[in-house]
Parts: sequence; structure tokens; C-alpha cells
Amino acid sequence: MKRWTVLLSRGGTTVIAIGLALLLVSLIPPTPMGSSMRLGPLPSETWQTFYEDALTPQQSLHVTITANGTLSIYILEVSSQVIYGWINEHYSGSADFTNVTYFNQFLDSNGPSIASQGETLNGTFDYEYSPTGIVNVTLAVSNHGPDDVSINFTGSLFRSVAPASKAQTLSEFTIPIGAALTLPWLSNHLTAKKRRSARV
Amino acid sequence: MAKTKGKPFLEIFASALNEDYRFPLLEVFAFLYALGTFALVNLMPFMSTSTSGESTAYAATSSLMSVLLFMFVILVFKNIAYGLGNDIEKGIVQTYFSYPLKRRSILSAKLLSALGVSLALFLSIQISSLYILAPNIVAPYLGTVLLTYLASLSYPLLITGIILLMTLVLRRGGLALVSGIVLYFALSIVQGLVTVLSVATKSTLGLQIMSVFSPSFALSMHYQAYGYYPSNSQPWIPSLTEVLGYAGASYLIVFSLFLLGYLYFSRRMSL
Repeated sequence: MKRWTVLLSRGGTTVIAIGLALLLVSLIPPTPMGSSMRLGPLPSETWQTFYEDALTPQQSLHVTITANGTLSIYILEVSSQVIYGWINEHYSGSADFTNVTYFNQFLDSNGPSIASQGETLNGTFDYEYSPTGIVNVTLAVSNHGPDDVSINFTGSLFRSVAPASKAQTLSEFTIPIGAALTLPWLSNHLTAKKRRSARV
Repeated sequence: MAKTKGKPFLEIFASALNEDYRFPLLEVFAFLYALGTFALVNLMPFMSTSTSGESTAYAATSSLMSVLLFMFVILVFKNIAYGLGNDIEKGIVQTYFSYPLKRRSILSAKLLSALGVSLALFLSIQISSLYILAPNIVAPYLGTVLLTYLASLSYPLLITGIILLMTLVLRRGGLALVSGIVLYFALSIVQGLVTVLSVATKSTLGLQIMSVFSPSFALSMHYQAYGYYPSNSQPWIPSLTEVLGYAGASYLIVFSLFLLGYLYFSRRMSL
């Protein structure tokens, strides 16, 4: 059997092994790491932070919000200090930090820090956020409406071995590539086996 | 000319590869490296202490080292002590000497298989897995990630050099392999003793000498990640330039050991 065929097949089996490891990693379910709950009203024309932490790609945040009105929800990849600092810097002295106008202006000026945004649909908002890097995450909720809104917030943190979707996608590519690399060896091996059995 | 020299080299390299990585050894190690990288990396505990992206990159990379580095070391030690040792014992190396190839090229082919392939597999799987996991650590701080690997691999390579020399001189691999594993673990014992002594004597000389043999120690001191000292009481915080200096000195020792091995194999070894 030609050496390059053997070399290629060993490369292929190694790639398959890596793919299988990635597949296994993607199948490990995330472990709950705790949750936080908050109940209360959000006054009209104000915003508040409901969750803040430093998250890694191994973690995911599952957010559930129920409210009796329409709210805008933002997952920002900055700490709340950055938001307060920005407001303080631009509106020093007179700033009411909870004023939604200041918050909107912060969002307009810091568009890239918005990782995700949404609104409560039929009074609920359900979202799972997984960061792509190590980031400070702040979940902010703003009420643009004229009425106060009652909120029921639940944030659950999960830890997974690896970002499941990424690992799964990669394994879906690597395993067939590895299998394709082993094909020449496999076909040679089977042909040789057939010949041997034909001789017997 | 190059063709006539290249073919026997590849012949020996292929034979060494076949011997060092019998099916499914390579596959098992690739699987464990990939799985271990995801299972062992821990980005969380360092979040509160890390002051910069650089130290986070260092912390994430070094969290992978303990078990996986030991696995890599075992594979390399096995390849050199048993692979080369058996070839010498069984007289296979004498057969290689009949090839139209210099002795140093024969040893290079053996080391390329025993060490080069393992190292390439280890680094490529680990760095790419780390990239999948935390791209914003690997991409902007690739230098820090590579420096962490460079510093961490120095001591295992130093022992590999010693094992190579022992295998060549003793002409068998068993004792060299055992000595290598003992030396590998001796580092943590010596490191602990030196740390205690440095506190007792209020001298950093021991720490500096230690760093020459294991620059990863200096790197952990640089990022203030060495667990022994309470916060803000570390007696010695080397600069990054100093760490690079220690890494350079360490690799100089590694290079000297491999050079000695080459010289012995080329000139002194009579079979």
C-alpha cells in the first residue's frame, strides 16, 4: 500500500478523533449555576439594570421577563459603571441616572456595546445569551411608555464545557473531512482483502 | 543530490512515525487533547483578579497546562526513551547507519517524529480549541498565549534533552524514562522549597535560579498568579523583558542538551 495513502488515512482518523471529541463536548448539557429573581415596578420614562456580571463563552444567561406593558430590553456588553460614567460625563451635575433619555443617548453613542435587544411581546420576553468572549454583561430594561410597568425578572446562569453550537458545527465538518481522508486507505484495504480471499 | 538524501530521511521518518504512533495512539491523544482543552480550561476564577486582557489570556492558557502537558510529556518521553532506546537495543539504528545519510540526519528524523509531531499536534489542537472557546483572548493576545506555551514547554523539553542523552549513553530507554518522570515531578517539589526559602531568607536569588530552568515560574510571578503568596506580598515581580530573558536562558540550556545529544550520536556513539 502506498505510503501517502497510509499517511492520509492516519491524518483522517486523527481528524475524526478531534471531531468526535468536539461532538462529545457539544452533547454535554449545561449545568445551572444559579439564578436571580426580581419583582417590582419600572416607572414611566426610566430604565434600570436587572442583571450584571462578567461572563465567559462557557456561560450562558437565560432571561425571562414578564410585564404588564411594553418594555425595551437590552443586553449590553459593558458594565453598568460604564453607562453611569458616560451619563455623568455628558450630563454632569444635573443627571438623573434613571432617565430613559440619557440611556437612549448612551445607546445611540455606543451602538457596538449592544449585544442584543428586544421588546416584551404579549407581556413576555424570553432570551438566551451566550457571549463570544469574556465580557462584562449588563441587562438593562427601559420603559418608554407613559405608565409604570410591573416586571417579573428571572435570570438563570448556565455553564457549559464549550459553546455547544460552535462545537457541533465544527464536528459536523471535521468528521466527514476525516472520513473522506481515510477513504483511499479503506478502499485499498478492502481491495487487497478481496484479492487475498479470491486467491484462497 | 537533494533527492538521494531526502528519500532515506523520509524512509527513516516514516518508519519512526509508524513505530511511535501505532494505531490508535495518535487518535487517542488527539481526542484527549481536544476534549481536555474544553474540559479543563477555566476562564471564570480569573475574572475578578485579572486586571488586563493579557493576564486573562495567560490565566486561560495556563489552566490547560497541568494534565494535558503531562500527557504530552508522557508521549514524548515514551517516544524518545522507548522508541529510540528500542531501536538502539535491537540494532535498528545500525541498519540506519548503512543508509546514505549523516548520523545527525538520522537523529533528526527520529526526533522529528518523536517530538515534532507530538508538539505540532499538542499546540495546534490546544490553540485552535482555545480560539473556539474564547476568540477575543487568542486573537488579540496571541503573543501572550504563545509566550505561556513557550515558557511552559521549556522544562519538559529540558527533561526531554536529558532523556535523549541518557538513552544514548545507556543505550536503553527504561531507566531514562523513569528518571524523566521523576525529574518532571521533582520540579514542583523544588519549586515549593525554593518559594518557602525565598520567604525565610528574604532573597529572590532562588526564585531567579528556578526561573532559569522553568521560565513558566517567572511568568506566573510576572502575572502575580503564583498561588503561594497572599495578594500584594509577592517578593519578586519580574518584568516581561526579564521573563523573556529567563525563557531565552532556559531554551539555551535545552539547545545545549540537544546539541550534546547530537554530538554524542554523531561522533562518540559506537554501535
